[in-house]
Order: sequence, then structure tokens, then C-alpha cells
Amino acid sequence: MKLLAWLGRKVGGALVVLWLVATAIFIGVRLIPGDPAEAIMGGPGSQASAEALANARSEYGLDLPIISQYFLFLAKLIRLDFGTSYSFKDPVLQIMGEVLPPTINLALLALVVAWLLALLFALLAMRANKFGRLLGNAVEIVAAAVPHFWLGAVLIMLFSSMLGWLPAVANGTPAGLVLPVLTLALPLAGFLTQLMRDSLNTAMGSQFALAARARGESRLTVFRRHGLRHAALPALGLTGWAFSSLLSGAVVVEAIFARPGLGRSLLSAVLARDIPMVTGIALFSALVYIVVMALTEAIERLIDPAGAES
Amino acid sequence: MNPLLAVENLSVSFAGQQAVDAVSFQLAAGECLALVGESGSGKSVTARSLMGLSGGTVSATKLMVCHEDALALSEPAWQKIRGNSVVMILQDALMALDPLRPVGREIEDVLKEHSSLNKSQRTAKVREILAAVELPEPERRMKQRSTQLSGGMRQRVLIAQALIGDPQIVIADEATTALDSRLAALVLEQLAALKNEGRAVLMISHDLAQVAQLADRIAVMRAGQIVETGPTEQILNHPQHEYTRTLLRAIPSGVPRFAPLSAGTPVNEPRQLAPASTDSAPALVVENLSKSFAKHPAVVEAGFVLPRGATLGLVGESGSGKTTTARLVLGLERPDTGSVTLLGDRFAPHSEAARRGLRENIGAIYQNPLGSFDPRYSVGQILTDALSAGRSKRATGYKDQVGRLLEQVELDPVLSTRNPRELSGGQRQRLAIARALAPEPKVLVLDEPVSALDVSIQATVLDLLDRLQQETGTSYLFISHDLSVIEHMSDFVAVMHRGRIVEQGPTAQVFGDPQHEYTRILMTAMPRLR
Repeated sequence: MKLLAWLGRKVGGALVVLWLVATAIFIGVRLIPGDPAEAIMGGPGSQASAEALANARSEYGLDLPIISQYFLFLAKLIRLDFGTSYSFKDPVLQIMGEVLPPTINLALLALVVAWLLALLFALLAMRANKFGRLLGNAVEIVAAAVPHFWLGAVLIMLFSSMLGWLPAVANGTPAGLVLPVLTLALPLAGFLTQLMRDSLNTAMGSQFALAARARGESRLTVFRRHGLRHAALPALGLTGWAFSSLLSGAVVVEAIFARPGLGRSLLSAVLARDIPMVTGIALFSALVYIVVMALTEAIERLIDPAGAES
Repeated sequence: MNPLLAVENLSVSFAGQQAVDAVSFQLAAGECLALVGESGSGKSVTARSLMGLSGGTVSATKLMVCHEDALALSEPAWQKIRGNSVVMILQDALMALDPLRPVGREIEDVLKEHSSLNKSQRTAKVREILAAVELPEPERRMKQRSTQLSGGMRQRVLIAQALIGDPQIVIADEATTALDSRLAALVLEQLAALKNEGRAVLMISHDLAQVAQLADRIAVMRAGQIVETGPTEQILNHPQHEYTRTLLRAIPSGVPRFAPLSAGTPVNEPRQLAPASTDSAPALVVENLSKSFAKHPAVVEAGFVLPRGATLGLVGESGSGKTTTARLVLGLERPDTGSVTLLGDRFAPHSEAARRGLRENIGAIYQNPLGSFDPRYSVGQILTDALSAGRSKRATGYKDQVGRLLEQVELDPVLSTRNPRELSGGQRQRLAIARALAPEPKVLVLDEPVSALDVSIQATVLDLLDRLQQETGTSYLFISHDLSVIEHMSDFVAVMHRGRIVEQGPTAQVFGDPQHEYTRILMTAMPRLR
């Protein structure tokens, strides 16, 4: 019952957020200078006739009053009709179905890898001596600070050009995924480790950790049973944010590794002023963000029911 | 008899700093030894090194734990001993349990480490042990986390965790400290039961009165060394070392009002309360005060009168509504019903604007003062801020007054440039007192002012409060869970239980002839030395 109420609240909240996002997109798109009808006809360079432009306007409802356009826009969204892409001439939903999965795959994989790396870093930092800790700290900061495009280029140079171990271009094989995922995951891992280490140190130095040691647990067991939970909580709270940053990071990474996906489509859609595409991608990104936030909140509730209530 | 613990010349150091210095003692089965000393005396480090958990460099001519040479034990060998033959009950039951895990799992961990029982057998055993320590509703409680349990339940869980391994040696590290008397009595009862079952009990405490009830022998520690050791009877009645005498004198239980607890304080004549003049209103009149939080009553129809220049002790267990009463009296919380009258003027309920003129007449001191100091302010700035009523924090114009205040609370004026974080617990509390005194209030609300302090430090702070009251005539509303502190400090006592004041009257009357059932229960749980 409690779970149902929680789910109901989440879905209601998600609908409100999606409506707000849609409205913001509607307003934002109309603030872009230039004539959307020209974009439909293939951009300013297409030299479309005045008649053709007028036809395009009436076809896409651009000649209606702005408030009617808004409700028409919302009505279409409710029917999951995102319209047809100006540049690809295909329904947006169909294009999304093609470009979304590879990007989500990439981001999810990067998220999992980043978490694993962060946990590994945190564990190493706990067991390290003073020098090791300093070194670890430096590595984390550098990892958290490097930009994706630089890291991607360096990884390609190192592992494909020089060592030849991994392909530089995504070719659909698992090996082709390694470098893009690492490029996305390493900075996030550095950032997550920084978040985890503080709470991990507090937990491992606490009375309950001492009590656990006094029960006969080894340091590793204490880490597994107590440290992990406490370390994960603050990082978990930021995972929703991290996932959205991964999506935007994917724009860069997909360009570097010539991967098909949402990022590249978004880039070309914005450049071509392809309003239905931009709308669709923004709404889907918001939806993905909401789902990830709800998931992390559910995990937080599992770990710390009392904290989540308050 | 072959002792379970044999320690000879045990020394522990941290990065060259000697924490424990050539300590020797023995402990046999069925015996209880108490290590007594102030915080920082090395008693906890000593206890932890008996489990290989001191974290420092340990040396000894002999260190035998359960007939094993502890100096030669490997980490895996230690892990077999810890939680099995040697167990530890830690000080703070809230902190000693992981807030993110169900308490049942914490207890079960002992069995995971030391037995080959399967999951359902382990759960059954946890249920069994929780029932044995009389935890109410063990089936439901074992699935809850420590933050969802009351203090008493947590304490029982800690004891259950220690008992499930069937230990030979039980180390109780400040296990009764800061507990209200009924909880402390519960822990002592459980420890006594362990002793009678033939286990060896090592008690660590700063409070001689509390360990005296159980210990067969007492070793007094100071600055890493044992200064005196002997049978409890002898330590209490014929202390040899000066430091032992200081510790004994610091115990407030049974010491007449205004008689000093610490050396160095001039002996004041026990003062007679000035007869209340008919024209001046009492310092504080509280009538029919009630407050509920989310329909849960915290204070119910509380009423009392604090005469001028007197101390009213408000005593009760944690959760009895003492602190809510203090917040209502201070006007920090709006009462549902009732009123607070300060020096004849209506103080609550009232608008904050109307109250502001009266604010300087009432001050407050809390258990943990550090949280109430701005961490960016120095000691001098904190006092200047209070002296100027928040208008300035620059020390220039108030230097003399700051110096006088520091002197008044027996702090070195040199400290005025320090940050409060650099002060010791006792010094911080003195600073809090100085700050509260700055606007020269007529009434001070003291909410557990000494509960976080060692008995010996507590003694000096209580003596200071006594002296200040005699000098300034300030009235105290003194809130504490500690009956012996209340008895020593109060002219009048009000006993609180579940939000109600169940009994009140002059101190001698309430303590000498308690009328209410609950007061009697409290009195029997109170440790008495004299």
C-alpha cells in the first residue's frame, strides 16, 4: 500500500515535470531567431519560394495564434505524436527508437563501471598508507577534472594507435564499447570516489565499526557490511544528476568514437533547427532522468528507510 | 587461580605519544575490576589493547588474554577471540549500532563470525537472546534499525550482542555513562548477572559511584598510569592517593547544598535562602503548560514556581519532557496551553517583539555548548557578541568586560583569542556560562549542563555555578537526569515522568520521603556512596 502511494506520487510528479519541460521547450523553440518554415524546407540555403513557405506554415500549424499552437502541441504530445523530423522526414518516435537504445546502453554501462571503479578506489584508499592515500587523492581529482574529449583522444592514442588493443571506432562489438565507456566512466568515477571517501572514513572510524571489529569481523568484512552502505548513500543521492551528465557527455563521446546515438542526433537536430527532434529528445531525456531519480530514491529507501522518511 | 587476564607493564603509544604507561593488573573469572579515570587517562586504550584494537604500538612484559599470549596473536587469531571469548560493550548505544542495519543483523553478525549455524538457526538464536535480555517485542524490534529504538532497547541490544557469543571476559567501556539512573541500573544488573555466571567483567568508567556498586577491585588511572589499586571497600573508604580522594570528593551524591565538590574552591557557608520578599514576584512562574508534537503530548499541564535566588531541579528520564519544558520556558516553542511569567511579566505565550525587552533577563546553557558557538568566532568574540547584544564582535571596546567575565568563570583571560574548538569540555562549558552571564540575567535555564563531563570536571563546574549564584543571586532552573546532581544543586525539586510533573517540593522532602511511585523507583535506582 505504501509502495503504491509512493509510485502514485512519483508518476504524478513525473507528469507535472514533463509538462513543464514541454512548455519550456515550446517557449524556447519560439525564441530561436529565424523562420521555422525555412528550416522545414531545408534551411535558409534552400531558396524556397514564398508559396512553398506558406504551404509549410499551414501544414505545420505555424500560422495559427500562439496559444492554439501551444494546445495543439500539448494535444499531440499526449497522443505520443511527436511529429515528423524536419531534416530526416521520418516520425520522431521512430528515430528515437533507433538512436535512444545505444545511448542509454552506453550511459548505463558507464554508470555501472563508474560505480565499480569508485568502490574499488574507495576500498584501495581505505587500505592504503599515507603516501598511497595522497596518490589516490591526486588520481581522483585529475580523473574528475579531465574533459571527455581530451580523455577520449588520449585513450584512443594509447590503446588503439600505440598498443592496438582496442578499436578506435565503435564497430558494434563489445571491444568497441570499452573505450567509449571508459571515457565516460573515469571522470564520474573520480567524482564519486571523492564523495564516497569522506563518508567511508567516517563510517570506518565510528563506534559501530569498532563494535563490529570487537565482534571479530575483519576490516574487509566491516567494509562490506557497514562501510559500503555509508559510502554509497551520498553518492547515490547524486546518481540521478550523474546520469544526466552522462547523457550530455555522450554527445561528445559519440562524436569522438563515431557512434550512432542520441547525442549525435541531438547535435545535428539543434544545428538544423529541427524542432520536433529537439522536442522529442529533450522530453525523452527528462523522462530518463525522472526514471533514474526514482530508481536511486528506491535504492536509498532500501538502504536507509529511516533517513528516507524524514 | 589462573587469571583470565594478566597484564604486566602494558604500554601503548601513538606516534611517539605515550597513552598508557606500564599498567599492570589481573582479572579472574567471576570477578569485576573497574578502571576509573578521567577522559584521556588511557583507560579506553588499555581496554582496547586487550582486544588487539588499540591501533597504537603495544608493548608489555606480559599480556595474557584467555590464557593466550596476546602479544604473539596474529590478526586471524584475534578475530577468533574477539566477540567470542572477549567481548566489548561500548559507551554510546546509539553510536555503537550501525544506523543503516537492522539490530538483529548486527547481533547475528557475531554468529556469522563464530559459529557454523545456518540462517534460520541464527535467527532463532538472536530471537532467543533478545528475549533473554527482556527486549519487548523481539520479533518486531530485531528488524528495526537502532534509530527506531528507545535508549533502553538499544542498551539491551548491545548487551545481547555481547552475550550471544558466551564470552569469558566482558569489557564494558563507559557502558553506564550518560544513561539515566534506571537505564544505568539495568546495565549494572546485567553486568552483575554476567559476573555471577562466572565471567570476568572489566568496567571502564569515569564515575566511581557507579562502578562501586559492582566492582570487586578498583584501579584508578591518571595520565596513562595506575596511581592506586585495591579492593573497592578500601578505595572508597581509605583512599591513599590524593587523586583518588579528588575523584571521591567530586561525587555530588549526598553532599550538602553549596558544599564544594572540588579542591581549590573556597568553602562557602551553606547559605540560607533569603526569605522571599512579598513585593517582588518570583523569578519564574509556570502554570498549566502543555505542548504536543503531532498529537504526541510532550509536556502535560506542567506547573512550578522558581523563587528568586533559588534553584529548582527538574529531574526525569530522557524523553520525559524536560527539554521541551525548557524550550517553552525560554519562549523558543509556543505552548498549546498555559503561561510562563518571568519576574512578574508575561513571557509566554507572547509575541517575540513584546518578549524582546525581557529576553536579557533569562539565559540558557546546554549539554553540548560547542554547537551553540559560531565556529568562526574566537572566545573573546563570542563574549563580546553577547555583551553588546549582537551589535559588535570586535573585542576593542569590551576588552575589560570580557576579561572580567572570563575571570568570573575561572578561565584564563589568555584564552580569549582561542577558538572554542581548542578548549576542553569543561572549559567550553565555562565559556557557555560566561556567555549566558554577559547580559546579567536574573534566571538561567541549565539543560543538562554537566551531563557530558567527567565527574571530576563536573564537580568544578557545579562549584562554579554555586559560587556564581551566591555572588549574583541568579535563579537556576536546573534540568538533569542525574539525581545526585539534582539533589546537590537544588532547593526545590520537580520530578517529571511522561510529560507530567508527578511530584514536587523542597529537595529534602522529595528525596527523604518520596510520595509518588515513580519517584520511589528513581530513588532506588540511584547510586549512593555516603
